[in-house]
Amino acid sequence: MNDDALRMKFRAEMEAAGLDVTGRDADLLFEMWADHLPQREALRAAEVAADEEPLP
Amino acid sequence: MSGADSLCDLDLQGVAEAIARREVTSVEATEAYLRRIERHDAVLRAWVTVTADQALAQAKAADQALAQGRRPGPLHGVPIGLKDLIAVAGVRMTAGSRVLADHVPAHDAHVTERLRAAGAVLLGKLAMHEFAFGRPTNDGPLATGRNPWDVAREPGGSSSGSAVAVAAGLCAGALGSDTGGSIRGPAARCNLVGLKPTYGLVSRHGVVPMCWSLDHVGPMTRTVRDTAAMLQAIAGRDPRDPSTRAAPSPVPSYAALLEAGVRGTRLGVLRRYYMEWTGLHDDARAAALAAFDELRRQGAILEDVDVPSLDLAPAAWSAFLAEMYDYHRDTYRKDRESYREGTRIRLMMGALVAAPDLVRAQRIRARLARELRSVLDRVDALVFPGLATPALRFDEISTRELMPAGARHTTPWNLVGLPAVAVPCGASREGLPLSIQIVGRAFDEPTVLRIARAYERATDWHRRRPDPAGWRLS
Repeated sequence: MNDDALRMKFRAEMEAAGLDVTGRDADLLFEMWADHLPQREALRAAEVAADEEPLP
Repeated sequence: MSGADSLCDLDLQGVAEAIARREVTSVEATEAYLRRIERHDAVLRAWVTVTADQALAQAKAADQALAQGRRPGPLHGVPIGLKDLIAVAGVRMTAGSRVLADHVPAHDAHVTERLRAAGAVLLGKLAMHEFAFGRPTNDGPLATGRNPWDVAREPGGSSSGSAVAVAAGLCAGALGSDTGGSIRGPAARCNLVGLKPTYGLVSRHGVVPMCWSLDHVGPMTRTVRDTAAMLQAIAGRDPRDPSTRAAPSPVPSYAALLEAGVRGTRLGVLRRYYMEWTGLHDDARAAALAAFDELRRQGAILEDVDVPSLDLAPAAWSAFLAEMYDYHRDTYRKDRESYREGTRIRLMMGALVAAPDLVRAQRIRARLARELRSVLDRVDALVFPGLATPALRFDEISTRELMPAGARHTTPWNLVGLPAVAVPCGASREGLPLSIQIVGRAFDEPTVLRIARAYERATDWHRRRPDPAGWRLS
């Protein structure tokens, strides 16, 4: 994913979360979010069996 | 024993025994710590609030009780400190944040009540990373503290002040909290024993939360015996914290089996995930291997074990930051500028966790717990390096990483709530503390502490003290 696409995805997620962040905070949040993205994708890609329930 | 500094070099049990034997009064012990705080805390920055007058009044009452032949608890007259997210009635509690700069709780936390009942003298409130997830800072009234082993390095967090104060002899023992390693990390960085008890063994009533389902409160001390003594004082059910419903009642004696040794104890070495990981510092690996050899020499049976879902644990842990965001949501919207920048950014990361990701994390968490139950059916405990590296210099700390330093070594055990203790096990080539971590079955703190004590008893690492001559800023 190129930088423009990444930023578009980031803005969409901020909007969905109801976050109104601009300026330096937005830049720092984007950096951290992008840095953490591989971990989140690994979690999403994890294979889980249909009968694996969450902890209550 | 002679001199205030030699008293401050004792461990908690040493101080307690000196008071019980009337070699020193509680007032003298309290004054000794207060003088040492006065002398060194401008550099070390371990304390946010020192309650000297209240502490001296408590110490005086403890001495009077002793004079009347009463010693109501094992911590009688012993000066201790509390991380500044644990409530003490009438004493400001900041949680390391300007958001709570004027907050004065009306009631004690459950653990504060229990420590008072055990006779402890409360010296004050200890520095911490903002809301247990901010970044270290040396600026302002809410500085997070410097490592007494090298003041150019961070002491680990978020229970930074608790670790600094105990390691530097500014109190005899302390409580911290641990959501992703905040007891074990600073303990490892500062040559202390730090126990994250089983989830639900120690009440969190009156403790500012970070993530409810991951939060634990526990002791940070110089020795395993000290940790057992503090745990004994604070463990057990509390109707005000529903997570404690599963705790044993009454709790067992945590000191009873401490000296029983490890002959025949089966220990699982998480070789693939920890020992073979390329991020593990050579000195940390060598110190852990030497510790395993010592346990083997004493008769423990070590075998390699693997837990596949550990690979996903830090990522799963990060999804629970949604809990942290929800706790702060209203305050953040009204007063976001009162949070430090680093905390603010991390809080917002919690807002960006999607609901399906949190559910996926809960499913991985359940699987991890299942895999660990299976492994812990075969072995009594797991052993591995406490952290991957010795303490970092302040200028080495990343500002963009979401996860706490050492997350690989600490966060899995918050997810599953198993008891985990960090124990000093060596020094790096630069003389910085190293540690091993021991993890056991739920509510099996007696076994975890027995293994830790067996190792400690055979080694001198826990007797090392940082040199106050180095507590200067260049």
